[in-house]
Amino acid sequence: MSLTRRQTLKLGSGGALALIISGGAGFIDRRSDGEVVSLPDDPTTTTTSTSTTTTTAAPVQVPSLPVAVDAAVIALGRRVIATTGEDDLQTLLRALPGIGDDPLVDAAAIVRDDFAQRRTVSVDGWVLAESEARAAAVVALLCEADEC
Amino acid sequence: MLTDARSLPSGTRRSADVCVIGAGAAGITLAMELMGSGLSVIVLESGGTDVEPDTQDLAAGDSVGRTLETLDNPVRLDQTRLRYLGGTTNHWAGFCRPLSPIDFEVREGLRRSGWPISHDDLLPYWDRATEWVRITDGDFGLDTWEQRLGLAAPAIGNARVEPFVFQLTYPTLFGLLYRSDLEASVDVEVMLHANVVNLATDDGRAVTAVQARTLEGISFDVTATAFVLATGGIENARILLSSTDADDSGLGNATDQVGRHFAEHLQVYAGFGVAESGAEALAGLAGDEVTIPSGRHAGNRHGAKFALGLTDDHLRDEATTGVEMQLLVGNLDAGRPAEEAGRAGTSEISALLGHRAESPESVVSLQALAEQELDPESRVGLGRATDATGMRRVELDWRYSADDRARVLGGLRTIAEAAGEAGWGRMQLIPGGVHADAIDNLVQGEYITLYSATPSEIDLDNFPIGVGFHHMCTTRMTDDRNEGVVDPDCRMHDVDNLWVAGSSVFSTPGVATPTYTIVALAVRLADHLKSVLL
Ligand SMILES: Cc1cc2nc3c(=O)[nH]c(=O)nc-3n(C[C@H](O)[C@H](O)[C@H](O)COP(=O)(O)OP(=O)(O)OC[C@H]3O[C@@H](n4cnc5c(N)ncnc54)[C@H](O)[C@@H]3O)c2cc1C
Repeated sequence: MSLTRRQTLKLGSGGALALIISGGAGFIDRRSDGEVVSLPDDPTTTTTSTSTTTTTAAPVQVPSLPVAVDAAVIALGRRVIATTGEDDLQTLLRALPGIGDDPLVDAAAIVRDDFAQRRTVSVDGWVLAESEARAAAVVALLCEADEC
Repeated sequence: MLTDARSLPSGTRRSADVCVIGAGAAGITLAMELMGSGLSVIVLESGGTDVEPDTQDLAAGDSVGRTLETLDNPVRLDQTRLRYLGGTTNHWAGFCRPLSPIDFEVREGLRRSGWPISHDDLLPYWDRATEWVRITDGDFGLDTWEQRLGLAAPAIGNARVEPFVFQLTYPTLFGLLYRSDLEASVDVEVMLHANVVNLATDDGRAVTAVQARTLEGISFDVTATAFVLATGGIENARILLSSTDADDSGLGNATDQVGRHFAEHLQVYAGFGVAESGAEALAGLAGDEVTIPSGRHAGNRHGAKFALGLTDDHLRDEATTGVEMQLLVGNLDAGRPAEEAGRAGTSEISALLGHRAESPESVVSLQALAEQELDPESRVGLGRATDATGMRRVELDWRYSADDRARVLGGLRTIAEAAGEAGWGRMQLIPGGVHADAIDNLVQGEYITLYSATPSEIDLDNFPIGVGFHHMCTTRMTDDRNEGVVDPDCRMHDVDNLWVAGSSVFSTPGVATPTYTIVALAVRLADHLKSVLL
């Protein structure tokens, strides 16, 4: 299945990314004891005062999606996963900028900055910001796991 | 005055100060500019005042390289230009835009880039060309046009991408518009049905006479102090290659440059755009009409609209070639021949899409025109077959490269990214995937199936590339006679009394539609001839 114009419309103005940010990624970690863990700068390294060691990164909190998700966004997310091959929720969440830093972060600004820095991905020909594409993939994975 | 070569006795010799060959945009502009200057002018035009199949057949030839095509429909050579008074302007679309300063610069990494004259050199001539093509003036500034149209240019712009304006004539058919002036003139004679077959020469250093004949077999010639070839980007080269009195390789072709570097504009039906910001953002893309305030055509109306292009800085920094993109509003039949589909307007599209579309009026189709790098092997040559006048037919070996294709894709993506950055919306790039049956699929409601191929099926190494019907660079303007055919005055490097007009003298194709610049160069050539001859 390919993306339709309608699915892409749903991505406007931060779209799926806004959905995830407003859903509280970075604030609810359902797989831990509830301790808030913020996203490290480099998701695969932790820095101590004396050394930098590569560790298994702490899991990023999984967002709860606040509103009913449009099937179009889920379909888009599936196409992103099919295109990029990236289907690991934690990897996708770690790569999402801004999450865990500030719940009021402006999703549209993040998306625009991706475009400005040419961090884009082509999904069925649609030129999308990496952040919005990843966010759509996250939404799709969450919904597949019955979390939406 | 308008005369007909068919009424001449065979063997007639005529003479004038200036003999212009071809009465298209270039030839007519030249004649109009020379009118009243004190110089006598004979313009030899192959056709009559309307299309005639036998004459049109003289433009037929073979494509042995890439075929000229629109979508996947090959176009015959005789369909790409017209042989009668007014030439190919009898079916041009009327889009006008000057070249950019970057086009005149030598660009690192691009073969044979740059012109021997500057953008500034042409500014006064573009200004004067506005009178002949019939547009408002030479001001193509965005602010000016936002004000004149009362519409906003698309708010898409960064260091790499910027909006620009097209002025659209409606369209100016040079033969029709200037016929009465030509008829009334005493010092300019336009001779119809006069097919030039040879530029006679003794030693190859000067043309002694132009030899012409009618399809009825009447032969005659014209002598002049100055001769100007103005028969279009393909025929200019063909006539030089066919003129072999002094050298089998043709006239003015000692350095083997005549006919080389043939360039077209690469036209790509690129995909779709969805405006986040709604239909209002699209008004400037659809454009509007304005009234010409003063001058020869005061009171006439013409159109103007905004489109998107790559900035000169980006082209310079990336050593890449130009790409411009029109965002076509209410034209979701993109690519379907107009005569089959008509031009579906926004309201029909809305009705077609019905409830399936949230806001169909915020959808545009994307059509791109791109510059190709010059290739000396891309060339106009002569075939074995001859036409009814005995001239060898054209054999066109047009080439463009995988690098050209990659640069087009890069340019499209750069524009799509700028659209996202600006918050304008998203673009789907499915280059060449559009299909003539698009409208039928649209009725089915799946927007994406407007394209015959699914996006994953699009072969990015081999998608169809169409043309703009702009034949350029076959007698390039250069300082060095080893790299081109005419000097900065458009005079042949090696033939003293022969000048060339038209897009064959373009040193590089740029990405702007060519006719406005063809006309500007013709105005400039008229000034030059006056300064040389008077
Ligand atoms: C469908 C289409 C759309 C176009 N749209 C645009 C556009 O929107 N914007 C733009 O800038 N350009 C456009 N063009 C290109 C434009 O038409 C040409 O750039 C322009 O007409 C070239 O002018 P010219 O005088 O050099 O040649 P032409 O207009 O082709 O005139 C050449 C003349 O020479 C005559 N001739 C040829 N051979 C001989 C001979 N042996 N002896 C005597 N006479 C001869 C021909 O009969 C003709 O009258 C379009 C072209 C096509 C086909």
